[in-house]
Amino acid sequence: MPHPTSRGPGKPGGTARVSRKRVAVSDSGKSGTSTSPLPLRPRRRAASEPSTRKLAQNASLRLSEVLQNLKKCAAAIQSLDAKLRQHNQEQDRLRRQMDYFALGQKITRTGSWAWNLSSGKLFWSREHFRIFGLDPENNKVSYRVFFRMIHADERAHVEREFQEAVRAGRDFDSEYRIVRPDGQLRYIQSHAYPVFGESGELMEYVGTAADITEQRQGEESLGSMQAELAQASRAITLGQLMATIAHEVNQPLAALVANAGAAVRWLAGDPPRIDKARQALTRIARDANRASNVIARIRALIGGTDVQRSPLDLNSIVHEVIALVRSELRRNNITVRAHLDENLRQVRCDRVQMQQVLLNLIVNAIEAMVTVMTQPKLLAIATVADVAGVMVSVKDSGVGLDQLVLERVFEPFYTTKPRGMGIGLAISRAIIEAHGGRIWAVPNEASGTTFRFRLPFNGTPAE
Amino acid sequence: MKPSNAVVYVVDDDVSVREALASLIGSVSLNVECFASPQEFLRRHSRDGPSCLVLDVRMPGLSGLDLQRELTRTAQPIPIIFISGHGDIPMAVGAMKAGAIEFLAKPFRDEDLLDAIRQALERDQAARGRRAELARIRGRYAQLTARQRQIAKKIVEGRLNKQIAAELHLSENTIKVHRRRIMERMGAANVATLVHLMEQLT
Repeated sequence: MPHPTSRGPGKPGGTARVSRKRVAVSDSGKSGTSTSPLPLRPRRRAASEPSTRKLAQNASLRLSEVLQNLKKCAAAIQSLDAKLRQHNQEQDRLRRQMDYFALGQKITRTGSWAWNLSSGKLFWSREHFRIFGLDPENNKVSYRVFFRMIHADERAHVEREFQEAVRAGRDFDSEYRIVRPDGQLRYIQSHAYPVFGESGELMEYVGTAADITEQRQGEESLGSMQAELAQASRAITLGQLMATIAHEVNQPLAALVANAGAAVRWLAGDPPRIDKARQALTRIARDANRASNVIARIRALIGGTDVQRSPLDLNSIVHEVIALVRSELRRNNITVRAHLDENLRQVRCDRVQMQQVLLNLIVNAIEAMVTVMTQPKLLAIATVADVAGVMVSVKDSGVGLDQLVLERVFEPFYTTKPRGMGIGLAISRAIIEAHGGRIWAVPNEASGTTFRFRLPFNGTPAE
Repeated sequence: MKPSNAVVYVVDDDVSVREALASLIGSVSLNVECFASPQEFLRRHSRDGPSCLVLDVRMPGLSGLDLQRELTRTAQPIPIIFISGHGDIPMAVGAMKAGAIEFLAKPFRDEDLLDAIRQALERDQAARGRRAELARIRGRYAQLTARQRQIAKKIVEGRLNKQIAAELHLSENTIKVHRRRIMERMGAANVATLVHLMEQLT
């Protein structure tokens, strides 16, 4: 019979060591045959030599015991091995999951972060490091490092918003630009939410930071096209109006002046040509009527016989117009903030005209801030509802206008701009008043001007 | 000053303007012809005496600037006074660069238009005189023989009879005969006049 150990458990690697140990135990039992079997059978075979048969029997018994132990051993090893395998699989899966997670972050260009409020520690995912242009091995991040990377124009604003969110335990959504150590500018969109402990205390903020640079740059070029379009369409509407006035009025005026000159000359001739002069004077009367008809038509145009009024949400119009000028704002480094009253009731008004008024006020605000270099450029647009109507305000932090100018800005052909026509605010006022509303301007305490208009729910005198 | 055959052409699509300008121009004893479109002008106008064109810029179909280009392209030089209902500066600059006499924004003062018309007619008359003179010189030059043209060129270059004779392998006498004939046919009393006439041909 071959030695049981030589058969072995047949298991490779680390399991062999375990089996060897067990075998060693049973060996020691076997080696003790001279001592340990004796007390077991002293009475049966006292001093006599143990028969070989007995010995063989004994050995076989022992062997089967050993075999039994070995089997148990093998089972134990097997279960251990299975557990080990399971553990490895688990680890593999975890590793794979981590890889997928990192890959997902890479593909979506979204890094994640967590900021512990009590320890003040900030965690960044690898992708977050990559987006911010930092090496995760050699850089430590902190709240301070993070905010220092935000573009100087937006830093204070973003930090203030973040602190406000933390104080209130609110979600935090923000978009900002960062300046990477290599000088590259990236556009980041961040979402974060607070995590609360068992007893409701704020533990940490976890969030994402998505690199939306390409998207924004695409939008920027698209946006600038849109802004140009808006500018163009605005110029076209006002320009068309001017062209209509110019052409339609200048034509009869030119005829009128020429006829008057002709009449004078026919009368001064020798002999005077009364017939010719009379014809010229008749044409003068006709042309004067024509000019005054043109004016009446233009008045009707602005007065709004053609406008289509329907109940509209002014907030949505504010959003539309902001979207139109977004790239213009960005190009001029202007931060826009909209404080829109969520409980706004709809107001009966003409969408296109309202867009025109808002666009006009916003473009004026932008122009007022273009030359401002020092202070942050802020455009604040607000809507507020009261019992009788809606008030919209457009506030800039621009150069500001003095009181004398403010009193005149709504007058037609009054302008403070070198290339202005002085017609935008005059038309805005005409539109607002046609809706039964009122428009006015006030200087801000610090700098700049606020333009406000108010539309009543029930005031539509032009209809 | 005002030749009786001078004509002012008015091209404007607005009938009020046409009537008024016809009356105004007529009141200073100038002939005037009105057209409602550039196409009509190109079809119908006849130019015998001095003339000028009072042209509206913006018209349906061909614009005033198109007409200006067309007249330049077909070598029908005529002084143009633009009148426009839009004070469009780039357009005015373009028109002036292309040789317009004046660009008047409607409504313009009647004197301004009449002054511009007078200036235009004078310029056209002068241009006509120059063109007639040039035609006269060309006609005379055409009467010279090939040999005489060759010699005339050398005279203008300042060569003496002796030099010309040597260069052309002719006798000095032959050159003298040709020279006299050249001066007669070109109507030049002296070499200076001949130089002046020949200059205008180039």
